[in-house]
Amino acid sequence: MTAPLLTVTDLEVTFKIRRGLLRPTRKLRAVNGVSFHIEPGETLAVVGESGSGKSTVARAVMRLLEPSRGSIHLDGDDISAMKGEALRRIRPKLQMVFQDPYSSLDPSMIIADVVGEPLTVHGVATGAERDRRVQDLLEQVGLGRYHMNRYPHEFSGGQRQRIAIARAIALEPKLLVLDEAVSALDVSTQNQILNLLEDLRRELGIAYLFISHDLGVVEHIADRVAVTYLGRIVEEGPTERVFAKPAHPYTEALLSAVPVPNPRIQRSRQRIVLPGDVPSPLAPPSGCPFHTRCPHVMDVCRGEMPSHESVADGGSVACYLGRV
Amino acid sequence: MSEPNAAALDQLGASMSARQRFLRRFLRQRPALYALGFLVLLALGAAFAPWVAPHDPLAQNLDRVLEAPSFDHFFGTDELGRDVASRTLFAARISLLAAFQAVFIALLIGVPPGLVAGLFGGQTDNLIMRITDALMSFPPLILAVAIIAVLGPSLTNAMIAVGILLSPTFLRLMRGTAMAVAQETYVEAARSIGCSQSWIITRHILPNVVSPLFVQISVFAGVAMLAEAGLSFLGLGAQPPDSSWGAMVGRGFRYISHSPSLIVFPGLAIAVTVLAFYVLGDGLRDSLGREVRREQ
Amino acid sequence: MSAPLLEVEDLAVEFLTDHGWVRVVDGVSFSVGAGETLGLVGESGSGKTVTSLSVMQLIPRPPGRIAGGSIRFEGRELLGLSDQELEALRGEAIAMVFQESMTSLNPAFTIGDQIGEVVRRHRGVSRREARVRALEVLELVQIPDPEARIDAYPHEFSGGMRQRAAIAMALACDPKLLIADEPTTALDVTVQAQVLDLLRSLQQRLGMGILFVTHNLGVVADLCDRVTVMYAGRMVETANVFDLFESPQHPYTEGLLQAMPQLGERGKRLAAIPGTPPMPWQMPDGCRFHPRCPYAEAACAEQDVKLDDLGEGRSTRCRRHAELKLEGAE
Repeated sequence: MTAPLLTVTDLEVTFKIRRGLLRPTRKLRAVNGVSFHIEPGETLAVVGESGSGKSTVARAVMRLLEPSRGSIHLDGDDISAMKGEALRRIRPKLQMVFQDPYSSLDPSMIIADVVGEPLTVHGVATGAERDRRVQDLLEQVGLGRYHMNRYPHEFSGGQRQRIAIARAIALEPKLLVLDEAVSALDVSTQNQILNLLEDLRRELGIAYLFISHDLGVVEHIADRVAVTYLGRIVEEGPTERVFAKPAHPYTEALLSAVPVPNPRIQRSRQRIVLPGDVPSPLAPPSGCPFHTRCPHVMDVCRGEMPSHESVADGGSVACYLGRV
Repeated sequence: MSEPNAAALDQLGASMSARQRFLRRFLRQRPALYALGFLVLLALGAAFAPWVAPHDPLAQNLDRVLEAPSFDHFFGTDELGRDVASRTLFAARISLLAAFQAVFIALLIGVPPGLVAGLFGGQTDNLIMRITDALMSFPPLILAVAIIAVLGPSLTNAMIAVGILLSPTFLRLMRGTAMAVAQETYVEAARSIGCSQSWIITRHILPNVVSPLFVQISVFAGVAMLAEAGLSFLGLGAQPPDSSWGAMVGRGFRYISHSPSLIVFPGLAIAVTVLAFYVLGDGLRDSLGREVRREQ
Repeated sequence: MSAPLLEVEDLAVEFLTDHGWVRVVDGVSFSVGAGETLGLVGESGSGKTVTSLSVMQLIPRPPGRIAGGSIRFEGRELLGLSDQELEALRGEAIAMVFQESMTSLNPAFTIGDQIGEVVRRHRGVSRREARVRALEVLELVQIPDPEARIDAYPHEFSGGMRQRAAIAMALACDPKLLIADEPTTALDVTVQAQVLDLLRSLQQRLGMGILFVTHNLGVVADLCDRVTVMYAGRMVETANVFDLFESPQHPYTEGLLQAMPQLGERGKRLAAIPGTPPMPWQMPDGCRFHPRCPYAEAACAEQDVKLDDLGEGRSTRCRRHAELKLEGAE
């Protein structure tokens, strides 16, 4: 058995919220006790709604944020406490594509420089050699050499996301973190990008950490899924098992809330409509974070957060249902 | 309510590069183009004054003092019989140079701390901003006179004073813009590929903060020129034999009833040039359009 | 079938851009009946939002202008009405809900005051009566504990609650027509399900017509009775929701349906419409979809395609629709 590419153990990220000059700062625990791993070449999707902490997980793994607890091992190295030069040296293994293709590309740079920047910064290639590499990268993502001297403004959202991907794969990373990378795109463009990601995975063997709120997309692209709610992973497992036999009531409700694009099926199916909203992460409920909205809530749920236990057909769930 | 419209409009303008769009908008700004043309001509005229001027600006002719404009002397002559037209042209060198000196000083002491405050934030930002506030709470004219009293009266010293007075605006502008740019996702993206701090500042932040700066430079060139005129009028600026437009007005003031042309022409030069700088600044701002507004 | 509440005919809207006057909506016609929900579907840039804003003439003028067509509400022409007459209609007979509810709620006033304000302006009732009405509609949209929430400010509400409050405000004067522009797009799916249920039950109780603008075909399948699909500023197909999903008559509709990832098989390539929509100042000749259409022939690029009435409220803008057998949702 090979070692996982990425192992995240008991990750916690807190933010200090300052609410005015004289009021005390409060701690917002955006991610709480999150553990997962990704094998080389595997796609793990982290799904959740707003406030679930899924984007914070992405930024912590990218070390754009400093975790307050827990460890992040990439390829055997603990990167959770790395700083400065050591962190810069690890960057080539670990790249990211952001949600908004309009703000993630520097408007003052031409595409050749946008895509070539990682090569320049890490001293991989310069001058004509760099331009040749950039050209190859652009072709790999379905763009051409004639795009090199243009500015980001001249491209559509989908094309910009291709540029962002070309830049992210320039250093041949082992792990690509995709934070809602197709959410801002229209369906037709979204699928072009998803197909491109599929191709790149096959050709380059990159592993993906795919952050998304769109379950339809996740079902298509992910090998495994981790479902997050209020900063915790409530269920994790192989995509087919999670979608076919969700083990956590939240996963079940989430799947049932996604409208099926077929009026006959959509209007006849049994749906679970959850009451209320996701509680504020500033004042999370005690015990299981989902107990305030859970249709199966029991007394025990209000006490302690349930531990993860394994599920038949793969994965694990943090729920007291069927245990007590 | 304006949300969807703005998005729709953004899309309509999305296919041009920022530079193209800037040029296209700027070329449509008639007044700004005229202002730019005027300033270029003025700068050329001042640079080549020794060849362009009809007379030697220092040649006295005591037989022909305080003459009205004539074919020989377009703007008339002064109290020593010197040609006012030539003197005005030569004074343009001093006035323009002085304005740019002041703006340069203001940039020099305003921009770096503004960037530092904007990029580092926290206590550094607090300290820099409190010093700026203290500086700005002095009445400007008194501060200028005090600085000149310490450094001694000369045009350069006067312009250093004006530059110091203008610097807080540059500082605040840079701080605000740098703060906004530092929040952009492309800066985070640069960090994620492993760019160093200094690389991010020089390659990603600086290029994106300069456009609003140009607008302010143009406007402040006008302000500085006006300030120079005021200080020179009071005798705190250009010292003889050098002469700026403000100094010419100051000297001509004594003969205002005899020959008003002595102050009309340099005064007009000040007014038109200052206006040109303002109009150019306005035009630049409008042509930068959304890009600048989004950053602020 | 009742006479339509809203009839839009041959609507054309233009915007002044760096490229001169550009037509972003061209020849759009549809109707919404009482108690009916019409879905206006399209991708970004299709002109669906501009169309919905034009009904209440809320596009900014300048740079926008309505260049032609007719918009009738209960038989009365809305184009050419004075600002006062439009003001009287807005919020009273025709109400709107937007994607970002924060933009329609004023952060400086309480929810109750804002809803009361709408009621007082249109109904001329007292402050006390307006408050009673505000409480009623907050209950109607199922805001928990409305007596306490009525004095809350918008920022104290979560996203889902704000959208409910915005809907409550829209319903305050019993509108006959509700124009909802992507009202669930910014919400989480579990909250989206709540709001869709709410809209459905409100419509059954109040009998209003809804013009529902969205890009999400799942939401359309859930809520809409009829659907108009827009592409590049034009309507390409109109049909009953079941017919549209089962047997689309326009290749673009087929493309959209096939592109839903839910329908794709895992591991297989997702169907994608190649290319990108055209910019409004460089519309292709002939059928505007032909450069991206898998069924395009030479003739599609030459002649302008007219909207073809297929009867029973169906129409399509495709010259090959009769010979093509397009695939619907499974």
